[in-house]
Amino acid sequence: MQLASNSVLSQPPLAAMPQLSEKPRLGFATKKTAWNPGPNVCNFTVTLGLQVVVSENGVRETYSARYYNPLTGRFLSRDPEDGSKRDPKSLHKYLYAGGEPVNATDPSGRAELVATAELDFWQAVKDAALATATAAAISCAYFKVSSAVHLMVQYSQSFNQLFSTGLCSYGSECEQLVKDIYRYMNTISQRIDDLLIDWCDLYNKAYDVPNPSLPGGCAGTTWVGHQQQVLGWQQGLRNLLKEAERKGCLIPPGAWDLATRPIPSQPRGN
Amino acid sequence: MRSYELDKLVMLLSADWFFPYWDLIGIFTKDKKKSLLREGCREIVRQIMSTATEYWGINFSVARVKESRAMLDALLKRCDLEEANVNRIIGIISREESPVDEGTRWLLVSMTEMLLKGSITAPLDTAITEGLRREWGRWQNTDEFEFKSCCLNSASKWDQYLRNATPDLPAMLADYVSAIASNSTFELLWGFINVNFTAKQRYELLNWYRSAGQSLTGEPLRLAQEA
Repeated sequence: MQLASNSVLSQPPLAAMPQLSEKPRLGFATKKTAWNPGPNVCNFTVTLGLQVVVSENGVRETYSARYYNPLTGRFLSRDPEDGSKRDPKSLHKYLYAGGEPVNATDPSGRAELVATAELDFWQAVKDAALATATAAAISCAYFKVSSAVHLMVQYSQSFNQLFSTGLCSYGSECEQLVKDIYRYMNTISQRIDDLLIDWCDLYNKAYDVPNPSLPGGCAGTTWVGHQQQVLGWQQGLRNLLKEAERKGCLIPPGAWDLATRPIPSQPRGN
Repeated sequence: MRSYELDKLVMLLSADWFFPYWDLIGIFTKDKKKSLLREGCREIVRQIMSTATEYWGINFSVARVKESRAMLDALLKRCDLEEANVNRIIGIISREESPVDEGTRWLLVSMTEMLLKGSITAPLDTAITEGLRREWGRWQNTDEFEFKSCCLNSASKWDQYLRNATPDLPAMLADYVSAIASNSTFELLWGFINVNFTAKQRYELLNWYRSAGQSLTGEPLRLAQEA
């Protein structure tokens, strides 16, 4: 497939993919979500109407049907195109834009061949890639969500971005609903992750009464408070799912599970 | 996990936006008593929140909950609320005692609704589906109501205070109304299954719930107790 070349990255990839566990989120961080693009996000559009975002944490993401890891410069799913034997780079199934992500883009993600890694998980994304030629048909139906928390965050981003580019023609009512569902899923996943990691050691030091001796954002919080917050988000997600189901909107896989999953009663390792 | 239904119910009954809709959660009384209760619930909300700015940061200890419960009991007595209404309030705040967890309760209700609307199919004896269909209309009464916009758009200062108590979930109390309704539906559904279906029919239906639940969530259905 022809690589798109009429787009310019406003800045190069800066850093590694964020890991949810790399930095503790203290307190409740109620007004921040990890994937909500901040004011420093640069958006620009590439040839096929797909959008690339360079976010403030330096992560460059393409919202095509395949997912691109800016750290390795590779896709996380295999390219469905065969490539050309005359161009070795085009034979690589996981290279983005022939290995030149700054100077070229491959918005559909369908550029070359032959795989190394096996990430079955990304099969759904790869499948969706087959529809990218007709961008409107893209994965509105097809964003499979994993129980892996940070992967889910990425999916949520991609999904929202797809809608924001106008690629998905889905009916505005369903579109907004599904976006909300992803937002809730994302938050619930993060909060469950917070409970399991328990950076502030709230389970031992502030189980149900805030402990003022805890540092920073931990001081005004409790383990039970976090649990209740997740339950609140779950309740909200259930209502969204009910509404989506009634309106005949597509419900993202994984949503039912997150809406009904029991909240951790203790941190991992306790 | 401990439950804090009392906190949420008291917050809900203290809200101005919810004042016209108490009957939808099964509390039927005159406006005069409702006003008294609403004011009393605000006192309890202040006790619950104490110095916290967000509900998530309050004291969740058993001692605090006991104190809130004592305040509510005293309030119900002071308002001379009818026995049926008192029982309904106690029933709502005690729902954690159900052997089936909240997520599963909601899932069972949702699957039943999808079954009856035909959005999912089931190889069930028609006597089962027809039996459920006959009752379903009587169990559902609040679903179509748009509580969320009432909650979010209310201009009353108290309602703004409540929204600010859960700033990330300003419509939490509206969601809670749906949760109350869903739980009530579950109780009716569960009771109906137990009383009206034969052992064979119950077995068939529960098996279907299990497999449909697993298909939806990817996890085995947490159905600890047989109907």
